Amino acid sequence: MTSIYNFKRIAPVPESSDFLDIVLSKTQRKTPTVIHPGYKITRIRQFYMRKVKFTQETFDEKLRQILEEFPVLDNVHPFYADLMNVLYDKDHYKLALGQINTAKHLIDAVGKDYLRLLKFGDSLYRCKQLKRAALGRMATIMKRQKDSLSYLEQVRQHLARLPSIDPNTRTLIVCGYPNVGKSSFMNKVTRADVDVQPYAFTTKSLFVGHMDYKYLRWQVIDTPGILDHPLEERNTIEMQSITALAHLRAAVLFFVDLSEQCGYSIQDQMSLFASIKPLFANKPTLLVISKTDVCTLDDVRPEERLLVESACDGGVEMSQLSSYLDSGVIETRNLACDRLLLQRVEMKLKGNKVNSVLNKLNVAQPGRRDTVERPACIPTAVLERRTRQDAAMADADADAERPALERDLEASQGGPGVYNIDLKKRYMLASDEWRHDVIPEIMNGKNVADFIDPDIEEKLAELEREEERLAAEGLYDSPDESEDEEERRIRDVARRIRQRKQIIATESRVKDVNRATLTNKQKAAASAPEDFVNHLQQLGLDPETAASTAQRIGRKRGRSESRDPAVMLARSSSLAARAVSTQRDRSTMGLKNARQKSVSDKKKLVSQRQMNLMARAGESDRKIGMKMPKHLVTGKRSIGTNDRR
Amino acid sequence: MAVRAQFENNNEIGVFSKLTNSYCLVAIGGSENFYSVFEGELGDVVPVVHTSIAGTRIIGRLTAGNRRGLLVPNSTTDQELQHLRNSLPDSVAIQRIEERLSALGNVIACNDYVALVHPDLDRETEEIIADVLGVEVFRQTIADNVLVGSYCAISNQGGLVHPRTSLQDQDELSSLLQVPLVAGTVNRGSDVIGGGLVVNDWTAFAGLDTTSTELSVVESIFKLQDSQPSAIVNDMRDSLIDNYS
Repeated sequence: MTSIYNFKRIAPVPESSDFLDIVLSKTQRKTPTVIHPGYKITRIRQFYMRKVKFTQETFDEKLRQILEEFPVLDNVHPFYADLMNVLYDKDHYKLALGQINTAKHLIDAVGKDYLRLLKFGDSLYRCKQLKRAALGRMATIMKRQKDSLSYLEQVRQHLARLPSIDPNTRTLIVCGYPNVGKSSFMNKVTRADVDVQPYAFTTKSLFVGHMDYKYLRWQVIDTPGILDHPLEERNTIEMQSITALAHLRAAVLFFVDLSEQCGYSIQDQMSLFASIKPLFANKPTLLVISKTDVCTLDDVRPEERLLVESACDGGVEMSQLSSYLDSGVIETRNLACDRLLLQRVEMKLKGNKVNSVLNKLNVAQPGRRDTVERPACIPTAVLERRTRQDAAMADADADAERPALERDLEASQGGPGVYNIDLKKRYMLASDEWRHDVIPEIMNGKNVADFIDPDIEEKLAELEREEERLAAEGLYDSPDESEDEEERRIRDVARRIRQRKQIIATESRVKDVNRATLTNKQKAAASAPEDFVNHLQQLGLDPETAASTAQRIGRKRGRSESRDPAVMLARSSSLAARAVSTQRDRSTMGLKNARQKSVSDKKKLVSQRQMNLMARAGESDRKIGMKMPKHLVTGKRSIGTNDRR
Repeated sequence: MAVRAQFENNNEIGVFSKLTNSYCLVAIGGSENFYSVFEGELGDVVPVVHTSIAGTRIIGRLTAGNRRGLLVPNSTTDQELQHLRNSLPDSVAIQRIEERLSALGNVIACNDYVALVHPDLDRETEEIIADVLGVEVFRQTIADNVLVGSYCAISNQGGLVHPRTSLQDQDELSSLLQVPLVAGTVNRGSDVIGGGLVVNDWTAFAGLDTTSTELSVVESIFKLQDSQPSAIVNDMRDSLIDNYS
């Protein structure tokens, strides 16, 4: 609902020289600083590329922050857009931001170019020169933004000091010629402390005050005085008033000074009213005659009076006030607020949002559903207290006599955390002496809670008797368990299976399976068919079934004579490559003949030969051509001998 | 009179206090500021009692009560029960309830004559409520919320319900409770009415964030300080429309 524009959060914009210092020192701090010519060239390149990239990113980030934080004129409320146009000149503002944007792009481009060049840097020296050039060019670009940056900083400082006007809330705008009593009225109705002086243009910018009326918060805007001349000739101070009048949906209070103490004639003031009247369209407007202590409507000449009264047609209401005498101030305020509220409510009722608040406006009255009276229950003490309070209001020093609250006790006895409240202080007991008596938690095996019900013993005994009776009647006896033969047999088998399982588990535990054992071939356990029958019997099958199952499962071992001749033939034929388990020479595998083998052996030798087997000097070896070059070690220099180390 | 208060920087004062026509329970806090707000308003009329329930401070949500009685959950310790018994007048019956929904303050909303309860409450609990508090009990929801105690505040003179309660629901609840009802908010738009507001027949306490519009609705609907519910429809209509929509 509320849209608050807060321009106070924009970060300060540094000057261009400070900007450079910030960015370059950040680069110095956040990137490695040690490099040696002996390092690998890739490492040297990477070192300088990192510096360039980092600097470019820091510039980019800082400039982007500026661009994002400053309000975009097209996105803010038209009132603020226009106000900023008046105060800072829209073109200038947009140009400054545009230049910052261009600088950002240029710096990005420089960074990109030099990164590309650095990829081809072949020595530390060259890389360093490239880095210096890159940073230098970025710095030059930033230095050119000196004016834009200082302008934006000024704008920022001014924006932060703008009053926080909410363009959408309930607003009263006070306007009129200079020195007609606008600020005095403002000071009367709100708690704002606007400077009031007996000369024109005391108020040079918009001021905001707040007040409460009809449970709502209202915003009162005091505007600088306006003179009657064409719009083009208006100065910045006047234009702020015009902006507020043009864009805020508010009640307008146009102040007129009939005494002409302000230095402007009634004709001038009324012609100003006529000329800015188009700005009051669709706004509740009040023509406020101020300074009635000096001059009222009855005191002026008839033609001037006619002039003033003629202005009050077409929905403009007139009101008279004197801030000096405090007469008419509140009436004027209420009239303006009521008119504005009426208009706002009418407008909101047209919208569809009002449907959601209908239930908040509706008081559901109960229909009577029976004849029971349900009166409120207000103790007489409350009513007495009310009358006493009313009396106390009249009495100024009643506050000193009020009874001490727990909070006062707390403050007098050490404050929160030290003071210990006495929870038993207000106990309602038969005798006040009992209040702080200690009640033992358990006494003679009983707790106080045990005595909450005086008949509890009796009830318990009754319950126990009932229990006994029920037990005697056999309610809890278990039902007769008569299981038939079949069930018993199944149970027996199940029991044996369970036993057997337990035995197997125990045996395997005893066998110590964790012992390291050789994985030898699985030996078939020699077992006679009887063992198998026994085993099945142990598992619970009856003897005949076990025997027949054992016979069915037991495989008849085949004898070699009865083998299939086809199989025998397949085994003996040469088709089976691996019929005999003998080692073969793998070096000849995959080769057609001996010649092919000799060729492949030779190739293998060559490919396996070590590099630089003879250890000859090559171009990649470190080489010092001349140990002591003559031109460097002979003769004298101005700072001494040439013995450098 | 409606008063704004805060419990240790928390605006949900209905959580930390329970107010009825014959007593007031207040949680034990770090300082006595919150207690003294109640004490200053009620001190010489009804007992204002420091207490904890089951060792916690959220007593407003755990207990339910009216002029005739107080219901506490079964997690209440014997000592706390004893303390309450000693502190409250004998005309107030105290009953510990075995109920699965143990936050009784959230599931029961009552004045001295009628109680609205959570639809899933036990039958036994319902009977105990009727006996101990001497009320008619209705299983209801408020704006489709089953936690009736959290989303409304009622006294014998009026009631404030969840802001999304439909007009039909308002009429139905109002004829059950036999008091005028209005939908509204507390604590600058909070819909947890029971959390932000405690009220009896002659005074109300609301969270510190409650706006003056909200507070004047409270005063009107609960007929505090000679104001009448009709004020909401007449005097405050414009302010409410402008404020809410």
